[in-house]
Amino acid sequence: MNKKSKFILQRFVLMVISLFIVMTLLFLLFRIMPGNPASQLVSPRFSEAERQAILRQHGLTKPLHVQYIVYLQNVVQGNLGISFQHGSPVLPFLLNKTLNTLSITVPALFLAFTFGPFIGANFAWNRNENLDSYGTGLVLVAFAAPIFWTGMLSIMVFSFWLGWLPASGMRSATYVETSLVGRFLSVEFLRHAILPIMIFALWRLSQPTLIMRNNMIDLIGSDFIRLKRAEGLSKKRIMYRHGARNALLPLVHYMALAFGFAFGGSIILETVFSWPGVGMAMWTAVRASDYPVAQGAFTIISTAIIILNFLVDVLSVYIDPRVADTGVEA
Amino acid sequence: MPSHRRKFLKRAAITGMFVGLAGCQGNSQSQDSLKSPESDTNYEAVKPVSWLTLSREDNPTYYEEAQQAQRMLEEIGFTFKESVYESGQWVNTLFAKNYDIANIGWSNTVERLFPYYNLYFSFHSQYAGPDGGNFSNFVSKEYDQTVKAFASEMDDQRRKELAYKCQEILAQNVPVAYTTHPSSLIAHNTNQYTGWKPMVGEWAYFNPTTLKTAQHQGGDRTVILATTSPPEQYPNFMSHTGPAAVFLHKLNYDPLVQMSTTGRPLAEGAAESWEVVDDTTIDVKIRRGMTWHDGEPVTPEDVKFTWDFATEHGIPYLASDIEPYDSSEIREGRTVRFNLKNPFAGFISVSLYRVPIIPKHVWDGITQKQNLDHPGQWENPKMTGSGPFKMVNYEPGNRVVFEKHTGHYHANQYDMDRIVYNIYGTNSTAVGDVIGGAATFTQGLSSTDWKRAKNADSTKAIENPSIQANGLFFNTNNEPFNDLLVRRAMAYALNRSVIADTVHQGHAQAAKSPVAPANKEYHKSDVKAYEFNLQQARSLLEKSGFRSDGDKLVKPVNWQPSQELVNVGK
Repeated sequence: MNKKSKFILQRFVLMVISLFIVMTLLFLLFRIMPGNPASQLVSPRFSEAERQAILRQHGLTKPLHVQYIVYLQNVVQGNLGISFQHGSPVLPFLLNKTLNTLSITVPALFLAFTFGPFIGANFAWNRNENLDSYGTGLVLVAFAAPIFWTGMLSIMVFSFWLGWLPASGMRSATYVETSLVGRFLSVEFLRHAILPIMIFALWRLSQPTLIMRNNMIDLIGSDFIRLKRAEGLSKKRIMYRHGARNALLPLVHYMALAFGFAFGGSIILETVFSWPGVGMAMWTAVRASDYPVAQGAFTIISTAIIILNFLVDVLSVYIDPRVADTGVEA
Repeated sequence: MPSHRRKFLKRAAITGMFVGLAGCQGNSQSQDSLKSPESDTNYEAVKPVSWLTLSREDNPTYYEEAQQAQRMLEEIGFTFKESVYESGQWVNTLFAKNYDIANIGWSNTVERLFPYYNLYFSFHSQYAGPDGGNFSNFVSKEYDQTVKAFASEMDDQRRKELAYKCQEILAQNVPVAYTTHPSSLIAHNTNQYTGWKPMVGEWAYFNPTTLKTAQHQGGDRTVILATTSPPEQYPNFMSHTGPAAVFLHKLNYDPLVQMSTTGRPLAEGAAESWEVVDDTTIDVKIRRGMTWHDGEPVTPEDVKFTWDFATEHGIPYLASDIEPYDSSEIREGRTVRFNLKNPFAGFISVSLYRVPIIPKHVWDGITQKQNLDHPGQWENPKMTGSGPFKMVNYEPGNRVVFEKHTGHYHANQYDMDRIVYNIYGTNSTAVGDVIGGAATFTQGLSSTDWKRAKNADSTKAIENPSIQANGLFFNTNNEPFNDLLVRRAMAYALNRSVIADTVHQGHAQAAKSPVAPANKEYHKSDVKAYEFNLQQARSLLEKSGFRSDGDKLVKPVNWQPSQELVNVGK
């Protein structure tokens, strides 16, 4: 077995162990947390017997180790259980919600990772000039401003004052879904999605911009850029063709992580825009102690992040073979 | 700055000044502090009172009421160790009775106009102790006898007198110092629907009776409720359900008895009429010509099946409504005779209203067919009902869509084709959509959002009188709350109008009973009241043995409660 294969195998085993640990922790975490599915129904006429009946309905009166074994068996078979809140199987429910989430997070990340490096490169090239000083400040403000504030502000302006865009949801309340494609491919969906996409993109813009800016600043002083200048190449050509291409590499790992997190969406973003995504489902499930949905949502997010990390590790070995020698993280 | 905020700040400043002045006065006048310790008695410092409340995120008004009440009680020397929990831990602590004071309020759904819930479950001694719903651990033989008689009294006048007596016993003994009856704040878009006759309580519009009163003005004949409350457990009716889910089921299923907007039982449900044969026997005549959503006829067998099935398998949230049922028999003329285990005066207005009928042909034998332990575990229950609307689409966490059941006996009384229960992330967006016309109405508003709706031309905002009662539940098992004088002292130290004005920004009434004034039939207006009086509060504490040692409240080392309970008599 060569070094590359050994490294990849090692990472694969680590990935499987990580997934097992995460699932075990998730199982325990929700059961350790105070409260249970009966907690949301506090009432004087609600006796202990009735509370136990609810727990029994959901199989929560069985010993913890029995619940754990059943849970692991189900997960291995791709079954994340049945929701306590609505009785439907968790996996299709969450996949459906994940699609809704990805429909705003992916375009937002695409925008952020398309424009961010471009803006960052320009900031670096004009370092300490007005564009850089004010631009960096603005990008930092966009990052520091809480999403619930920028989101509410955008709703106030574009929905309530100007009346241009809807304030909430993914479709109008009376919409009847006929097909999955129809859900996303329509003007109505686009009108609902514009605000959350823009707000999420604005928030995500800072990291690719600033990472690019810093990388470019390091590169600008390097010999090969000086050489290109001496060759008489145009500024644009040096900046984008030679500088930016080299500075982009460190962004790859970050981008993979960002897309991993995109599966989880943003609880705040989805709450502000009443977007029926996985973030809102997760929040509702945690509050209602709907263990299967909450565990399932975190499992999907963790799995996406762990797998994407593994893929980046694999990719790193091919991009930079020294990684397999030294075991250094890409 | 918006005018409501200016008003709020002004009120807060005035309150602050008032409290400040009261404080200054306290320092300068000796009668405004407790007497000093007596030299021949050994004293010990009174421990901080453990106080249980919900987190601000879970319930901002409980949390704020707790803060206000604590500041007020500090005026008579008490200190507090507050436990602010999120709902899970809060419920565990509440049922474990692990607190000296817990501030709670019960939500106000219309069937609670029959105050069985607020009087019986909350104070009967059988629910005292761990895991019971008597959160003050109040134990009084006189009260037990009175409230039991109230629950089983079938004569309206006698029952009302017994409810009055229950309220008087509670007012005299103060297991709970009531603070406020917060109003339900609701707003609707007048370009879509007008004419709403709100039902008492929180679900003022979203109920089959009030929906009949809404008149279409414009738009696509769809009523959209903008809400931030996802149903607790939905759509399987046989699962544990919950308060919001029960209201959703009311559209899809017919109960035997409907409720008027003022809480009187109406023969507008599946029952055409009913007759109380004796204290434990009720005959209900089932309406003719009713059909289930799938076209099958509704029969008396379905009614009997529903109650037998619910009794056999249990529906936790409705357990207390089902519990009085013993058996039923089908008699001539589409009549079902209900036999109760014990006389229960609320069987018609509470049980027959809360438990709807379900189709036998869908549910019979479902546990065997689907291999389930409980019918509540059925993954894809057929939501076949006979109600005025049929649930056609449920997207958990997003919306529930109902379409009119055109075969319903009252279908032509509903001026709408569709009802949508649309779930929002925030109240402010929900209100914004009602104002903008993307939703028809919203409920459970904060006063800020309500004022925003009130100021909009397209919207009418109403303040619905509430039957909710918030209060401080004293754990009467714990010292010093086993002393009536201490409980009364605390009741005197609460300035309820300040709580109503600041926490609820004026949208609440000061409370003195678990039965709110909005409950015109059962509210007793002249129960013993504890008007804000710090001097009286201090004098009662002194009488109980408490003294002020510098800035510390102290009590004798061998302190015993001077009086635990008082009987009201006839």
